[in-house]
Amino acid sequence: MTAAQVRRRFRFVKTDDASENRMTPVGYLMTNFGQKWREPVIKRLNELVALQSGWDGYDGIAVTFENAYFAVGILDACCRGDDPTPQIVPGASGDLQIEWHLEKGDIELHIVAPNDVHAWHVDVNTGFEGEGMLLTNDFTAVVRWIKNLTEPTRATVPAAS
Amino acid sequence: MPLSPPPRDAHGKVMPHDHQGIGSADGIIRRISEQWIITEPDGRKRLSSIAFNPSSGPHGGMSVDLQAQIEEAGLNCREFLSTTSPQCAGSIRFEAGALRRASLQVGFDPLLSNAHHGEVWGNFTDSMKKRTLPGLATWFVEIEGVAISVRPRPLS
Repeated sequence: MTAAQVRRRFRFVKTDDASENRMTPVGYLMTNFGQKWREPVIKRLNELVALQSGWDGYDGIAVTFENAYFAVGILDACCRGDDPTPQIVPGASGDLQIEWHLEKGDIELHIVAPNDVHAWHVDVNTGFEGEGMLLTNDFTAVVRWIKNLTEPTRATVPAAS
Repeated sequence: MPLSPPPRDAHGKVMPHDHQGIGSADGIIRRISEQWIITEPDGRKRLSSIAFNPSSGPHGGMSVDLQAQIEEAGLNCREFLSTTSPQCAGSIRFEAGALRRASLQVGFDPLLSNAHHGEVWGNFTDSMKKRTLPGLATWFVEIEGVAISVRPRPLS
């Protein structure tokens, strides 16, 4: 798929770009094509920005365009092309959560607003309760977490004597 | 007996409170959207922790329905939930006393659209959302094949 094709598939377009002055999340350089996760993520985000008011049985609103854009920015910054597709779930206030649940652990990124992300992960190093942190525009920790969960476990090779 | 009016701020918004009229054994119902179902690596399904998240805003809490008030109004709670939110596939139930023992407040926040609406307020830490609240909940209207809690698994 070409970058132009990818851009055409990125449909939740908003004309007044409220995120213009925000900083781009820091992580991998954006490649903008070839990511296996991109198409299902865009499809899911398009569903979530179109949720009806009250979708949660209370006063829930749809995921905001700003949060959806920021979510894609985080994924562009953090994920390699063959990284697993995350699951995305909506919050009641226009927020959303990006989640990976893998054999080696879990990662959850709660996007409250652009540049306001509560990140949490659990793996063999964190213990059962996991570890949480607040992130704004630097997602290098998430890059590391994803790498830890997706890379094959390497057997320890004793040094040659 | 109808609940006394909740405390409100200068803007008329209900403030966090623990309502004395809500008994310890009263059911506190949380409606569950299918949007909150996620899949574990072994293919099993469960609720995302975001199902246990409070709303944002100055007095944001976790929206709930007050079972005793619904039933005292002569309504069947399951029918009330299904008619007022047909889009929600299921619901879970807490006991008010269990929420209070977890240092949460259980209050009354009537809405024009739902006179039996309540809120749960408190410190929604990671542990609260991912372990404590799912552990205190049982299905009220079950979504078949979906677990409420995280099943601990060995991490390698």
